[in-house]
Amino acid sequence: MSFEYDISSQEIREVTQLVVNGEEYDAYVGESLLGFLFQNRIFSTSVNLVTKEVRFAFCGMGMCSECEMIDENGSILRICQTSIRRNMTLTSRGI
Amino acid sequence: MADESRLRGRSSNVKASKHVVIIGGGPGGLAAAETLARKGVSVTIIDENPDLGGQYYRRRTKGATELLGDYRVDGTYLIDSVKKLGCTVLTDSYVWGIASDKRSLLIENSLVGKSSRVSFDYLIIASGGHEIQYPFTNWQSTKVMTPGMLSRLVTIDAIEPIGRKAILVGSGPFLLAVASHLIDSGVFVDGIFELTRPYRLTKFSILAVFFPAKCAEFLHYRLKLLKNGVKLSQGIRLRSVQDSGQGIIAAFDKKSGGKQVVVESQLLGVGYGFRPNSELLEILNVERGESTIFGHFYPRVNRDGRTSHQNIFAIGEVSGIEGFKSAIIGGVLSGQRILRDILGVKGFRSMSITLVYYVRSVYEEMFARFLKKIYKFDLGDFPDLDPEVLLCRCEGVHASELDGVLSQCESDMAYVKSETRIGMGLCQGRMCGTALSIIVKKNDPKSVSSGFSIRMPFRPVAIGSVAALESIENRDDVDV
Repeated sequence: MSFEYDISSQEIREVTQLVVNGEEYDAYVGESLLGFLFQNRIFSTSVNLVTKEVRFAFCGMGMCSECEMIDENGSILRICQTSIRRNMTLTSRGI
Repeated sequence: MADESRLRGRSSNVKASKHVVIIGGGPGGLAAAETLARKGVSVTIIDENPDLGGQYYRRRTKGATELLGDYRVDGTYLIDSVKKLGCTVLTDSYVWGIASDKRSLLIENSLVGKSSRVSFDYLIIASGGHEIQYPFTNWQSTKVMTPGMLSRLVTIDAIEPIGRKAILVGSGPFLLAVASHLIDSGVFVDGIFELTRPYRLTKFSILAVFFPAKCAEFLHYRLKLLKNGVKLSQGIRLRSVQDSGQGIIAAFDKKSGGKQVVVESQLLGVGYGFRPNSELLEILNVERGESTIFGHFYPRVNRDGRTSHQNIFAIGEVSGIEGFKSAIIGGVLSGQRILRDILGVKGFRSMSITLVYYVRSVYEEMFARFLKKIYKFDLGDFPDLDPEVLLCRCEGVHASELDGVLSQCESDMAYVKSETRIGMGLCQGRMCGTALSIIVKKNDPKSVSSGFSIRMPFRPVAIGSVAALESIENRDDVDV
């Protein structure tokens, strides 16, 4: 994301490393994961277990479960409801 | 969750022993919480999202706020005020059921995957709604999403829209609002494709006479679309979407016949209005209100939002799709109603305010009725599905698999579900339920379809946490 530092706010936002399906990215802590994936054109949050199609977030409000990814602890996250944490590693559900 | 323990420690200035639980921290829930907490009533708000605000008052992240400023400032005030008043706020928490005594909710914190119970004296259900979908070929494409999500991406997540294009398909005034958000953020809108035929002079002269303020709002949107060269098509239905490398190619046909219309764009937002998140009301078996052609469940409520169960209120979209203003009014009225119950009429001194809100509530309801009339669907608006269309996204069930099942089902959706697995996936039938209801009804127009039957847990929760809660069923120290 191309957010710029606002010097007047006297707060520099923390950059962290985010790994999505093996690819490394730089991201800001606390930003929206959905926005990050969209901005970086990572349109694969899950793979449907039946049809094996790649899916991306659909409803954006935690209803459809298409945006579920698995984090480094093995817990399932709904991307549209999650913000970026430090050193996150995400894998698409169903891969 | 640091905020929560800090807030819980605060004591209220009035000794009110009654505990009110509000499900949903959107405009309606927040307004109700503020009304109650101001008089010292102990309030707990439960919300699935990581922060209060619901969909309408969803919070921008820090980065987006720095870049673009605060979004919907009235929401910020409301949220701050509710937090300052000392309401207990349980975010990231799903309500997935209700205990058999109907006095405590079963909730799961999705961050830790643990369930617990929250007991209440009064319950205000302000759980909102979600967008109605109707399938078309390749609607599972990664470039197809709801208009709500498109709007959220540009307003809340502040994605860089340069070079992006989108089309909006479906029905309802919400498409106009989303188009406006997209234009404001620099996305080029290639067109709005409305299923019904609402935009006619005869209809809008009625709007101008009875709802001048709303008419001005509509004209504002209309002029914005004209200025930005957005084409508004009516009576047109989406049949298929194809991926074209960089974007999508959408094919439409006119309801009145004629040749296909093909439009190229990058993203497609599709939604046919909203339906209520009414699962809890159905489980509680409150009396049903007006029935709709889609079979969605709306409770019968009075002006205060009170359902047929005296201690249970339903406000906002869950009691009727009327928009955020109506939700706020409903929140204030339900809050005041509960205050009158708790404090008595003598202790309650804002009767004149209540009256003003009554009048506003009637006005919003009349406007919502008018909108329902001008954006009126009938079953024929929705085309028969081609066999290869994916009907259930989660379980991968295609429309062709309905062959033979429909003629056997006697308009019983549970039968279709058990034969085909439609609606058994993670979304629990929220994406395909309305579509199946339409298909079943088209197959047998006399049928009274009421959607999928609701069973607990009605949100996807970890089975382990449900089991853990069962084993402490009779302990009373688990209440939050």
